Amino acid sequence: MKRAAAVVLILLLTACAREPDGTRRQFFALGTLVDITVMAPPEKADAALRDAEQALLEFERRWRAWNEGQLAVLNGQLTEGQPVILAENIASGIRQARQLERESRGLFNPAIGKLVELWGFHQEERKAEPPPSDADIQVWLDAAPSLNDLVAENGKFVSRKPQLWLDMGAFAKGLAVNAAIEVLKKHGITDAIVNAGGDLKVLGTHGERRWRIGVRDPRGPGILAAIEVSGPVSVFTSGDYERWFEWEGRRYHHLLDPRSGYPAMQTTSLTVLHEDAARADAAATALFVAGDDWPLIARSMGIEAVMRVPAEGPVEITPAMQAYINWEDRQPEYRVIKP
Amino acid sequence: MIRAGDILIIIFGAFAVGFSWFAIFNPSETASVQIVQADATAKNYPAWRDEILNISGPLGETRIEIHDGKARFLASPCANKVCIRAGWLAHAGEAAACLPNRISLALLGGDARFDAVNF
Repeated sequence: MKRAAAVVLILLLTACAREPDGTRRQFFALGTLVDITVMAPPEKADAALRDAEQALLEFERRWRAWNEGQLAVLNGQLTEGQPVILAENIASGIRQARQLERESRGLFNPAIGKLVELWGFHQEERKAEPPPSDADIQVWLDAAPSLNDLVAENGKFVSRKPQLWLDMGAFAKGLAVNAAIEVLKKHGITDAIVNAGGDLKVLGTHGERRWRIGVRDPRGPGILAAIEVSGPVSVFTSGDYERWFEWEGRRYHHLLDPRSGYPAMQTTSLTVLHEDAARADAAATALFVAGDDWPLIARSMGIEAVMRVPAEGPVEITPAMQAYINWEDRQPEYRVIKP
Repeated sequence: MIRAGDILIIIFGAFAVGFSWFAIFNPSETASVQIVQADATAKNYPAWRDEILNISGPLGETRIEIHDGKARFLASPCANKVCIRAGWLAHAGEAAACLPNRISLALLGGDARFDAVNF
Protein backbone atom coordinates (compact mmCIF):
# COMPACT_ATOMS: atom_id res chain seq x y z
CA MET A 1 0.00 0.00 0.00
CA LYS A 2 2.77 2.42 0.99
CA ARG A 3 4.68 1.68 -2.23
CA ALA A 4 1.57 2.39 -4.39
CA ALA A 5 0.94 5.64 -2.54
CA ALA A 6 4.57 6.68 -3.09
CA VAL A 7 4.29 6.00 -6.84
CA VAL A 8 1.14 8.16 -7.04
CA LEU A 9 2.81 10.96 -5.08
CA ILE A 10 5.83 10.97 -7.42
CA LEU A 11 3.54 11.06 -10.47
CA LEU A 12 1.55 13.95 -9.01
CA LEU A 13 4.67 15.93 -8.20
CA THR A 14 5.91 15.40 -11.76
CA ALA A 15 2.58 16.53 -13.19
CA CYS A 16 2.60 19.67 -11.09
CA ALA A 17 6.20 20.65 -11.91
CA ARG A 18 5.19 23.56 -14.10
CA GLU A 19 7.96 25.92 -15.09
CA PRO A 20 8.12 29.16 -13.12
CA ASP A 21 6.83 32.16 -15.09
CA GLY A 22 8.99 34.93 -13.69
CA THR A 23 7.95 38.58 -13.63
CA ARG A 24 7.85 40.42 -16.94
CA ARG A 25 7.90 44.06 -18.06
CA GLN A 26 7.64 45.41 -21.61
CA PHE A 27 8.19 48.97 -22.77
CA PHE A 28 9.42 50.96 -25.76
CA ALA A 29 13.00 52.22 -25.53
CA LEU A 30 16.13 52.35 -27.75
CA GLY A 31 13.79 52.62 -30.75
CA THR A 32 12.38 49.16 -30.14
CA LEU A 33 10.29 47.04 -27.80
CA VAL A 34 12.21 45.99 -24.71
CA ASP A 35 11.05 42.87 -22.88
CA ILE A 36 12.61 41.95 -19.52
CA THR A 37 11.80 38.79 -17.58
CA VAL A 38 13.15 38.29 -14.08
CA MET A 39 12.91 34.88 -12.42
CA ALA A 40 11.65 36.24 -9.12
CA PRO A 41 8.23 37.02 -7.62
CA PRO A 42 6.80 40.51 -8.29
CA GLU A 43 7.55 41.74 -4.76
CA LYS A 44 11.27 41.22 -5.42
CA ALA A 45 11.28 41.93 -9.16
CA ASP A 46 9.20 45.10 -9.49
CA ALA A 47 11.73 47.61 -8.15
CA ALA A 48 14.52 46.00 -10.20
CA LEU A 49 12.43 46.12 -13.38
CA ARG A 50 11.45 49.75 -12.79
CA ASP A 51 15.08 50.79 -12.32
CA ALA A 52 16.21 48.81 -15.38
CA GLU A 53 13.56 50.57 -17.46
CA GLN A 54 14.74 53.98 -16.21
CA ALA A 55 18.35 53.06 -17.04
CA LEU A 56 17.40 52.14 -20.61
CA LEU A 57 15.33 55.30 -21.13
CA GLU A 58 18.27 57.36 -19.88
CA PHE A 59 20.54 55.51 -22.29
CA GLU A 60 18.23 56.34 -25.17
CA ARG A 61 18.36 60.05 -24.36
CA ARG A 62 22.15 59.93 -24.13
CA TRP A 63 22.99 57.90 -27.22
CA ARG A 64 20.40 58.98 -29.78
CA ALA A 65 22.41 60.15 -32.80
CA TRP A 66 19.62 62.13 -34.41
CA ASN A 67 16.96 64.67 -33.35
CA GLU A 68 17.34 65.80 -29.72
CA GLY A 69 19.67 63.12 -28.34
CA GLN A 70 22.75 64.12 -26.32
CA LEU A 71 24.93 62.51 -29.01
CA ALA A 72 23.05 64.41 -31.74
CA VAL A 73 23.92 67.73 -30.07
CA LEU A 74 27.59 66.67 -29.82
CA ASN A 75 27.56 65.63 -33.47
CA GLY A 76 26.32 69.06 -34.49
CA GLN A 77 29.13 70.76 -32.56
CA LEU A 78 31.80 68.40 -33.92
CA THR A 79 30.64 68.94 -37.52
CA GLU A 80 31.03 72.70 -37.04
CA GLY A 81 34.60 72.12 -35.84
CA GLN A 82 33.88 73.10 -32.24
CA PRO A 83 35.93 71.44 -29.46
CA VAL A 84 33.55 69.57 -27.13
CA ILE A 85 33.79 68.23 -23.60
CA LEU A 86 32.40 64.73 -23.40
CA ALA A 87 30.57 63.53 -20.30
CA GLU A 88 32.49 60.60 -18.80
CA ASN A 89 29.80 58.05 -19.68
CA ILE A 90 29.90 59.12 -23.35
CA ALA A 91 33.71 59.32 -23.38
CA SER A 92 34.08 55.83 -21.92
CA GLY A 93 31.60 54.46 -24.50
CA ILE A 94 33.59 56.09 -27.29
CA ARG A 95 36.86 54.63 -25.94
CA GLN A 96 35.29 51.18 -25.94
CA ALA A 97 33.90 51.70 -29.46
CA ARG A 98 37.30 52.88 -30.71
CA GLN A 99 38.91 49.65 -29.45
CA LEU A 100 36.19 47.56 -31.17
CA GLU A 101 36.56 49.55 -34.39
CA ARG A 102 40.28 48.76 -34.36
CA GLU A 103 39.75 45.03 -33.66
CA SER A 104 37.13 44.83 -36.44
CA ARG A 105 39.60 46.43 -38.90
CA GLY A 106 37.15 49.28 -39.45
CA LEU A 107 34.15 47.12 -40.39
CA PHE A 108 32.39 48.28 -37.23
CA ASN A 109 32.58 52.00 -37.82
CA PRO A 110 30.65 54.26 -35.41
CA ALA A 111 31.62 57.36 -37.44
CA ILE A 112 29.40 56.21 -40.30
CA GLY A 113 26.42 58.46 -39.47
CA LYS A 114 26.59 60.62 -42.61
CA LEU A 115 26.57 57.52 -44.82
CA VAL A 116 23.57 56.16 -42.89
CA GLU A 117 21.86 59.51 -43.47
CA LEU A 118 22.66 59.39 -47.22
CA TRP A 119 20.80 56.08 -47.40
CA GLY A 120 17.92 57.43 -45.29
CA PHE A 121 18.26 54.73 -42.62
CA HIS A 122 18.56 57.32 -39.85
CA GLN A 123 14.81 57.91 -40.04
CA GLU A 124 12.47 55.71 -38.02
CA GLU A 125 10.39 55.45 -41.18
CA ARG A 126 12.44 55.87 -44.34
CA LYS A 127 10.80 58.07 -46.98
CA ALA A 128 10.11 56.51 -50.39
CA GLU A 129 13.10 57.95 -52.22
CA PRO A 130 15.87 56.52 -54.44
CA PRO A 131 19.18 55.25 -53.04
CA PRO A 132 22.02 57.80 -52.97
CA SER A 133 24.00 58.44 -56.14
CA ASP A 134 27.40 56.82 -56.69
CA ALA A 135 28.92 60.32 -56.66
CA ASP A 136 27.48 61.13 -53.20
CA ILE A 137 28.75 57.81 -51.85
CA GLN A 138 32.18 58.48 -53.34
CA VAL A 139 32.39 61.83 -51.53
CA TRP A 140 31.86 60.00 -48.24
CA LEU A 141 34.34 57.26 -49.19
CA ASP A 142 36.98 59.86 -50.05
CA ALA A 143 36.65 61.32 -46.55
CA ALA A 144 36.34 57.83 -44.91
CA PRO A 145 35.76 59.15 -41.38
CA SER A 146 36.49 56.84 -38.46
CA LEU A 147 36.78 57.22 -34.68
CA ASN A 148 40.50 57.86 -35.19
CA ASP A 149 39.43 61.26 -36.56
CA LEU A 150 38.03 62.20 -33.16
CA VAL A 151 41.07 63.50 -31.31
CA ALA A 152 41.66 64.88 -27.82
CA GLU A 153 43.17 68.38 -27.56
CA ASN A 154 43.58 70.19 -24.24
CA GLY A 155 40.97 68.05 -22.49
CA LYS A 156 38.43 68.48 -25.28
CA PHE A 157 37.56 66.44 -28.34
CA VAL A 158 37.67 67.80 -31.88
CA SER A 159 36.80 66.19 -35.18
CA ARG A 160 39.38 66.27 -37.96
CA LYS A 161 36.69 65.66 -40.61
CA PRO A 162 33.35 67.41 -41.09
CA GLN A 163 31.95 64.15 -42.51
CA LEU A 164 32.35 62.48 -39.10
CA TRP A 165 28.94 61.87 -37.50
CA LEU A 166 28.75 59.42 -34.63
CA ASP A 167 26.01 56.82 -34.96
CA MET A 168 26.31 54.14 -32.31
CA GLY A 169 23.43 52.09 -33.73
CA ALA A 170 25.57 48.94 -33.88
CA PHE A 171 26.86 49.32 -30.34
CA ALA A 172 24.66 51.42 -28.05
CA LYS A 173 21.99 48.73 -27.75
CA GLY A 174 24.62 46.32 -26.45
CA LEU A 175 25.92 48.90 -23.97
CA ALA A 176 22.36 49.56 -22.80
CA VAL A 177 21.60 45.86 -22.35
CA ASN A 178 24.79 45.49 -20.27
CA ALA A 179 23.68 48.44 -18.12
CA ALA A 180 20.19 46.99 -17.58
CA ILE A 181 21.69 43.65 -16.50
CA GLU A 182 23.97 45.47 -14.02
CA VAL A 183 20.94 47.26 -12.54
CA LEU A 184 19.15 43.92 -12.09
CA LYS A 185 22.23 42.41 -10.42
CA LYS A 186 22.41 45.33 -7.96
CA HIS A 187 18.88 44.39 -6.89
CA GLY A 188 20.06 40.85 -6.16
CA ILE A 189 18.54 39.34 -9.32
CA THR A 190 20.47 36.27 -10.45
CA ASP A 191 18.26 34.94 -13.28
CA ALA A 192 16.88 37.23 -15.99
CA ILE A 193 16.66 37.98 -19.68
CA VAL A 194 16.85 41.48 -21.18
CA ASN A 195 15.57 41.41 -24.75
CA ALA A 196 15.87 44.66 -26.73
CA GLY A 197 14.01 44.07 -29.99
CA GLY A 198 15.45 40.59 -30.51
CA ASP A 199 19.01 41.22 -29.29
CA LEU A 200 19.47 40.07 -25.73
CA LYS A 201 21.51 39.10 -22.73
CA VAL A 202 20.66 36.40 -20.19
CA LEU A 203 21.70 36.00 -16.59
CA GLY A 204 21.60 32.62 -14.84
CA THR A 205 18.90 30.17 -15.89
CA HIS A 206 15.15 29.91 -16.43
CA GLY A 207 14.29 27.93 -13.32
CA GLU A 208 15.78 24.46 -13.63
CA ARG A 209 16.71 24.74 -17.30
CA ARG A 210 18.82 26.89 -19.59
CA TRP A 211 17.27 29.83 -21.47
CA ARG A 212 15.91 28.84 -24.89
CA ILE A 213 16.47 31.43 -27.61
CA GLY A 214 14.98 30.96 -31.08
CA VAL A 215 16.95 32.42 -33.98
CA ARG A 216 14.73 33.59 -36.81
CA ASP A 217 15.13 31.89 -40.17
CA PRO A 218 16.23 34.71 -42.51
CA ARG A 219 15.12 32.81 -45.58
CA GLY A 220 11.53 32.15 -44.60
CA PRO A 221 8.99 32.07 -41.79
CA GLY A 222 9.77 30.26 -38.56
CA ILE A 223 12.84 29.50 -36.52
CA LEU A 224 16.17 28.36 -37.93
CA ALA A 225 17.75 27.15 -34.70
CA ALA A 226 17.33 27.16 -30.95
CA ILE A 227 20.25 28.31 -28.83
CA GLU A 228 20.21 27.05 -25.24
CA VAL A 229 22.38 29.06 -22.88
CA SER A 230 22.86 29.88 -19.24
CA GLY A 231 24.15 33.32 -18.44
CA PRO A 232 25.84 35.61 -18.41
CA VAL A 233 25.82 35.55 -22.19
CA SER A 234 24.53 37.84 -24.95
CA VAL A 235 22.95 36.70 -28.21
CA PHE A 236 23.06 39.29 -31.02
CA THR A 237 21.99 38.84 -34.63
CA SER A 238 22.40 41.13 -37.65
CA GLY A 239 20.05 40.36 -40.53
CA ASP A 240 19.36 41.89 -43.93
CA TYR A 241 15.61 41.62 -43.29
CA GLU A 242 15.52 44.06 -40.36
CA ARG A 243 15.43 47.40 -42.25
CA TRP A 244 15.33 47.65 -46.00
CA PHE A 245 13.62 49.26 -48.95
CA GLU A 246 13.04 48.45 -52.59
CA TRP A 247 13.75 50.79 -55.45
CA GLU A 248 13.10 49.88 -59.07
CA GLY A 249 12.97 46.18 -58.23
CA ARG A 250 16.19 46.13 -56.23
CA ARG A 251 16.38 45.57 -52.48
CA TYR A 252 18.68 47.62 -50.25
CA HIS A 253 19.20 46.86 -46.54
CA HIS A 254 20.66 48.90 -43.68
CA LEU A 255 23.93 47.03 -42.96
CA LEU A 256 26.35 49.26 -44.84
CA ASP A 257 29.90 48.29 -45.73
CA PRO A 258 32.17 51.26 -44.92
CA ARG A 259 34.62 50.03 -47.63
CA SER A 260 32.12 50.31 -50.50
CA GLY A 261 29.43 52.61 -49.08
CA TYR A 262 26.79 50.06 -50.14
CA PRO A 263 24.85 47.37 -48.24
CA ALA A 264 26.97 44.27 -47.59
CA MET A 265 25.55 41.53 -49.80
CA GLN A 266 27.38 38.27 -49.00
CA THR A 267 25.50 37.48 -45.77
CA THR A 268 21.80 37.13 -44.94
CA SER A 269 22.06 36.85 -41.16
CA LEU A 270 24.80 36.40 -38.61
CA THR A 271 24.50 35.51 -34.92
CA VAL A 272 27.19 35.79 -32.26
CA LEU A 273 27.42 34.87 -28.58
CA HIS A 274 29.62 36.74 -26.12
CA GLU A 275 29.38 37.68 -22.46
CA ASP A 276 29.77 41.40 -23.23
CA ALA A 277 26.65 42.63 -25.05
CA ALA A 278 28.42 45.71 -26.47
CA ARG A 279 31.11 43.53 -28.05
CA ALA A 280 28.47 41.07 -29.33
CA ASP A 281 26.49 43.95 -30.85
CA ALA A 282 29.52 45.43 -32.67
CA ALA A 283 30.75 41.98 -33.75
CA ALA A 284 27.38 40.95 -35.21
CA THR A 285 27.59 43.99 -37.50
CA ALA A 286 31.31 43.70 -38.32
CA LEU A 287 31.17 39.97 -39.11
CA PHE A 288 28.06 40.48 -41.24
CA VAL A 289 29.79 43.22 -43.22
CA ALA A 290 32.97 41.10 -43.55
CA GLY A 291 31.08 38.59 -45.74
CA ASP A 292 33.16 35.47 -46.49
CA ASP A 293 36.08 36.91 -44.48
CA TRP A 294 34.14 36.73 -41.20
CA PRO A 295 36.44 34.11 -39.55
CA LEU A 296 39.33 36.58 -39.76
CA ILE A 297 37.34 39.34 -38.05
CA ALA A 298 35.90 36.89 -35.48
CA ARG A 299 39.47 35.97 -34.51
CA SER A 300 40.59 39.56 -34.15
CA MET A 301 37.48 40.48 -32.10
CA GLY A 302 37.74 37.44 -29.81
CA ILE A 303 34.40 35.97 -30.91
CA GLU A 304 34.24 32.16 -30.78
CA ALA A 305 30.54 31.31 -31.18
CA VAL A 306 29.19 32.34 -34.61
CA MET A 307 26.38 31.17 -36.89
CA ARG A 308 26.24 32.68 -40.38
CA VAL A 309 23.60 32.28 -43.06
CA PRO A 310 25.39 33.33 -46.27
CA ALA A 311 23.51 34.72 -49.25
CA GLU A 312 24.40 31.49 -51.06
CA GLY A 313 25.50 28.10 -49.77
CA PRO A 314 25.15 26.17 -46.54
CA VAL A 315 24.83 27.68 -43.07
CA GLU A 316 28.19 28.11 -41.34
CA ILE A 317 28.76 27.55 -37.62
CA THR A 318 31.81 27.50 -35.40
CA PRO A 319 32.53 24.54 -33.08
CA ALA A 320 31.80 26.79 -30.07
CA MET A 321 28.35 27.67 -31.45
CA GLN A 322 27.63 24.04 -32.34
CA ALA A 323 27.62 23.19 -28.63
CA TYR A 324 24.58 25.45 -28.06
CA ILE A 325 22.57 24.77 -31.22
CA ASN A 326 19.46 22.66 -31.77
CA TRP A 327 18.08 22.81 -35.30
CA GLU A 328 14.36 23.46 -35.11
CA ASP A 329 11.76 23.41 -37.90
CA ARG A 330 14.18 21.80 -40.37
CA GLN A 331 17.85 20.89 -40.24
CA PRO A 332 19.59 22.99 -42.89
CA GLU A 333 22.69 21.95 -44.77
CA TYR A 334 25.54 23.31 -42.67
CA ARG A 335 29.29 23.19 -42.30
CA VAL A 336 31.50 23.77 -39.29
CA ILE A 337 34.18 26.44 -39.68
CA LYS A 338 36.94 27.14 -37.20
CA PRO A 339 37.64 30.87 -36.93
CA MET B 1 1.69 -8.71 -3.97
CA ILE B 2 -0.79 -6.10 -5.21
CA ARG B 3 -3.88 -5.71 -3.10
CA ALA B 4 -7.27 -4.15 -3.87
CA GLY B 5 -6.30 -0.98 -1.96
CA ASP B 6 -3.20 -0.57 -4.13
CA ILE B 7 -5.25 -0.82 -7.31
CA LEU B 8 -7.70 1.80 -6.03
CA ILE B 9 -4.88 4.19 -5.16
CA ILE B 10 -3.23 3.69 -8.57
CA ILE B 11 -6.55 4.30 -10.40
CA PHE B 12 -7.15 7.43 -8.30
CA GLY B 13 -3.59 8.54 -8.93
CA ALA B 14 -3.89 8.08 -12.71
CA PHE B 15 -7.00 10.31 -12.76
CA ALA B 16 -5.34 12.93 -10.56
CA VAL B 17 -2.21 13.00 -12.73
CA GLY B 18 -4.26 13.28 -15.92
CA PHE B 19 -6.33 16.10 -14.46
CA SER B 20 -3.20 17.96 -13.30
CA TRP B 21 -1.59 17.75 -16.72
CA PHE B 22 -4.77 18.97 -18.39
CA ALA B 23 -5.36 21.79 -15.92
CA ILE B 24 -1.78 23.04 -16.01
CA PHE B 25 -0.52 22.46 -19.51
CA ASN B 26 -3.57 22.73 -21.76
CA PRO B 27 -2.46 25.60 -24.01
CA SER B 28 -5.92 26.53 -25.20
CA GLU B 29 -6.82 27.37 -21.60
CA THR B 30 -3.78 29.58 -21.07
CA ALA B 31 -3.05 31.13 -24.49
CA SER B 32 -3.73 34.83 -24.74
CA VAL B 33 -2.80 37.76 -26.94
CA GLN B 34 -0.88 40.56 -25.25
CA ILE B 35 -0.93 44.04 -26.74
CA VAL B 36 1.43 46.71 -25.42
CA GLN B 37 0.80 50.36 -26.29
CA ALA B 38 3.13 53.35 -26.37
CA ASP B 39 2.53 54.22 -22.73
CA ALA B 40 3.61 50.64 -21.84
CA THR B 41 0.05 49.65 -20.94
CA ALA B 42 -0.19 45.90 -21.49
CA LYS B 43 -3.58 44.30 -22.04
CA ASN B 44 -4.32 40.61 -22.53
CA TYR B 45 -7.10 39.23 -24.75
CA PRO B 46 -8.17 35.57 -24.96
CA ALA B 47 -6.72 33.93 -28.06
CA TRP B 48 -9.82 31.71 -28.47
CA ARG B 49 -12.19 34.66 -28.98
CA ASP B 50 -12.18 35.89 -32.59
CA GLU B 51 -12.22 39.68 -32.71
CA ILE B 52 -10.79 42.74 -34.44
CA LEU B 53 -9.30 45.39 -32.17
CA ASN B 54 -8.63 49.04 -32.93
CA ILE B 55 -5.64 50.25 -30.92
CA SER B 56 -4.57 53.89 -30.82
CA GLY B 57 -0.95 54.96 -31.22
CA PRO B 58 0.87 58.22 -31.98
CA LEU B 59 0.26 57.84 -35.75
CA GLY B 60 -3.38 56.80 -35.52
CA GLU B 61 -5.31 53.55 -35.25
CA THR B 62 -3.80 50.12 -35.78
CA ARG B 63 -6.15 47.17 -36.39
CA ILE B 64 -5.28 43.80 -34.90
CA GLU B 65 -7.10 40.58 -35.74
CA ILE B 66 -7.39 37.59 -33.42
CA HIS B 67 -8.66 34.46 -35.13
CA ASP B 68 -8.56 30.79 -34.25
CA GLY B 69 -5.86 31.22 -31.61
CA LYS B 70 -3.65 33.33 -33.90
CA ALA B 71 -3.12 37.08 -34.12
CA ARG B 72 -1.84 39.55 -36.70
CA PHE B 73 -1.56 43.21 -37.60
CA LEU B 74 -4.35 43.81 -40.09
CA ALA B 75 -3.93 47.52 -40.83
CA SER B 76 -1.59 50.23 -39.62
CA PRO B 77 -0.96 53.91 -40.43
CA CYS B 78 2.85 53.35 -40.55
CA ALA B 79 4.64 53.80 -43.89
CA ASN B 80 6.55 50.56 -44.34
CA LYS B 81 3.96 48.05 -43.00
CA VAL B 82 6.67 45.85 -41.48
CA CYS B 83 4.16 44.86 -38.79
CA ILE B 84 1.64 43.64 -41.37
CA ARG B 85 4.31 41.75 -43.29
CA ALA B 86 5.11 39.80 -40.09
CA GLY B 87 1.85 37.89 -40.80
CA TRP B 88 0.07 35.60 -38.37
CA LEU B 89 1.58 34.85 -34.98
CA ALA B 90 0.60 31.25 -34.36
CA HIS B 91 2.78 29.96 -31.49
CA ALA B 92 3.17 31.13 -27.92
CA GLY B 93 6.30 33.23 -27.58
CA GLU B 94 6.00 34.81 -31.04
CA ALA B 95 5.85 38.60 -31.18
CA ALA B 96 5.65 41.44 -33.69
CA ALA B 97 5.60 45.19 -33.29
CA CYS B 98 4.67 48.35 -35.11
CA LEU B 99 7.49 50.55 -33.85
CA PRO B 100 6.37 53.78 -35.58
CA ASN B 101 2.93 53.49 -33.97
CA ARG B 102 4.40 52.00 -30.79
CA ILE B 103 2.19 48.93 -30.55
CA SER B 104 3.43 45.41 -29.94
CA LEU B 105 1.67 42.10 -30.21
CA ALA B 106 2.69 38.83 -28.53
CA LEU B 107 1.17 35.40 -28.11
CA LEU B 108 1.43 34.14 -24.56
CA GLY B 109 0.66 30.66 -23.34
CA GLY B 110 1.76 27.48 -21.66
CA ASP B 111 3.36 25.97 -24.76
CA ALA B 112 6.02 28.59 -25.52
CA ARG B 113 8.97 26.96 -27.29
CA PHE B 114 11.32 29.85 -26.63
CA ASP B 115 11.99 32.44 -23.96
CA ALA B 116 12.86 34.95 -26.71
CA VAL B 117 13.31 35.10 -30.46
CA ASN B 118 16.56 36.59 -31.75
CA PHE B 119 16.35 38.51 -35.03
